[in-house]
Amino acid sequence: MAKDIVILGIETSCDETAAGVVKNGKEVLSNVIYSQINVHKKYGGVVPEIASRKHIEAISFVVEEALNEAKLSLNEVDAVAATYGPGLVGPLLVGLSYGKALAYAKGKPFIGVNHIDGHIAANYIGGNLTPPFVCLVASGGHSHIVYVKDYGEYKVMGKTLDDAAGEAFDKVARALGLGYPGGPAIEKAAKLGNMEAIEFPKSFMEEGNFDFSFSGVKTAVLNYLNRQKQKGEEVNIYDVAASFQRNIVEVLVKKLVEAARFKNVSKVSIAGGVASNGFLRQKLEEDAKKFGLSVYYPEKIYCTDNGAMIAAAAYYDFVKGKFSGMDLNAIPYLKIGEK
Amino acid sequence: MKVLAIESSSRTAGVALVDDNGIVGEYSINYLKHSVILMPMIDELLKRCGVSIRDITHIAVSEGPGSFTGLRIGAATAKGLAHALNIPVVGVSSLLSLAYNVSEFDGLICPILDALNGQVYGMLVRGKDFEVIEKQDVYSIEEISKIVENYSDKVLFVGEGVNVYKDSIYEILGDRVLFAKDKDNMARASSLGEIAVLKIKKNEIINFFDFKPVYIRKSAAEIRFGGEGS
Ligand SMILES: [Zn+2]
Repeated sequence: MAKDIVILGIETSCDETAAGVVKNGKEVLSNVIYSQINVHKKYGGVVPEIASRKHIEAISFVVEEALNEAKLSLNEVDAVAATYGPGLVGPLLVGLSYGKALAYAKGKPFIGVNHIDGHIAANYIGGNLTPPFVCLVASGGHSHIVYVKDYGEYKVMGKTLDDAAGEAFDKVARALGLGYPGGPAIEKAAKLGNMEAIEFPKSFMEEGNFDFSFSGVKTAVLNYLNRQKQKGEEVNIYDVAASFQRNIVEVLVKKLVEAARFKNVSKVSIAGGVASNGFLRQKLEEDAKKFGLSVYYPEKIYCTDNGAMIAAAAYYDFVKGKFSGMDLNAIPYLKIGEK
Repeated sequence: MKVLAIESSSRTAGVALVDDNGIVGEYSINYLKHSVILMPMIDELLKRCGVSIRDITHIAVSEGPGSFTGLRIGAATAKGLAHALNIPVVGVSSLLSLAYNVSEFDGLICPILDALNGQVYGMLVRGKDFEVIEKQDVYSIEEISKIVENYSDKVLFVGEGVNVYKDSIYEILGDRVLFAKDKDNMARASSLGEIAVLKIKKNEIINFFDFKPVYIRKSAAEIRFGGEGS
């Protein structure tokens, strides 16, 4: 076997200041995440300027801790990687500028990583998933169904036409008074409710179209809450949460399974913050089994935004000798598969 | 001592190399693409000066006030370089650095940067001895003019804010004020570097972990939320 490749990955695209060290794209030596959730909670969502300020305060500590936990010095790292998009431009610029400076001063290669690429690569960590497969990437910022042909080679099969899945969770959670972030709050509340209680409309699109839309169900939930309020009827928020969650999960799972069968692959995976939803995992296991598909998902800690996934994704660029220039800029609307 | 100075608080992106003998080299680009050009400029400057990044002893950076994003690009770059090299950072006020462009002026120097909404980031510095006599803050044009009126000296306004507020300042203060030339209104990494050398001699350095920009202003969300916050 060739020499081990150790990469330091930095991630600051949203509200997590994160850094991780990964060996050969699979073995995590460290994964340090400083979450700002408590800072943004009172605003009901991520405030970009506040996030950027927190990133610049935390970044050196987070990077240093990642190296310490990995028991490595910067000299022993083979390359530095950082997310350069998609994401919030202010936050992205902190990690990207930091990563470029680190790499430059140490004379190491620098690799700019697409954040979505990172989420997908989280599936390779510690596991034995290999392309080709179809992956659902769902979080507060993105919802994509991606055909992963080979490492770093993607084709987007479908995406949300409006709200991201995580975004819909956030908005409904807020309407239900469950707080922020919405995903875990809805999942928790849903456990106490009857998921068959209310039938919200599902948008499936036509056969062979893998796009989805979540603004319809979100509006339906909000309308339902208004109607009940006007009628003076009490709302069972647990039933609403459970029914809403079932609606979203059924759409996501159906699309993912269809996409895998369309591409004739035997493996499906999920990634991104929404992939830590237990009900989604369970439903996917059930439905995928019916079609003989094997299911993969990262450990929960690698579903949220983290530095290890960025280092994991960068590994495949490293072995191909694909490095970024010192003039790399942040690209807030970077598309998947774009370099 | 070899100081690499990084200026990105406003429109100008600049890098300079300053040592005990003075300015070794400087690049300035007056075009907003800081995240794209800063690192290549550093690389080019060091190459042309025949200096390796490993020979740098301090990273100086404009700590603010100024463009929030610009400040963070500079800060992240400075912290990253200092982290890799394990050397200290020297934060220099972007306003003080602007005043340094015209430090020989015999009178008062008022560096200003546009803070939008009819406001400026400003301070007041006595020329020649280069002493700060009014601390940096956000001021309306009326407020900064009122402060200037407390002194009888001639006042030279300098900085990017001059182009924006020249007329309204002149309207209030009249002939006792002067305005710096365009070349001096540009933020200069060399000025920053020279002030940094003075600060290093007084041991006014900071470790890269703790360095962060001085924004003066809170974020809009914090202000809307009622002023509390970080
Ligand atoms: Zn993400």
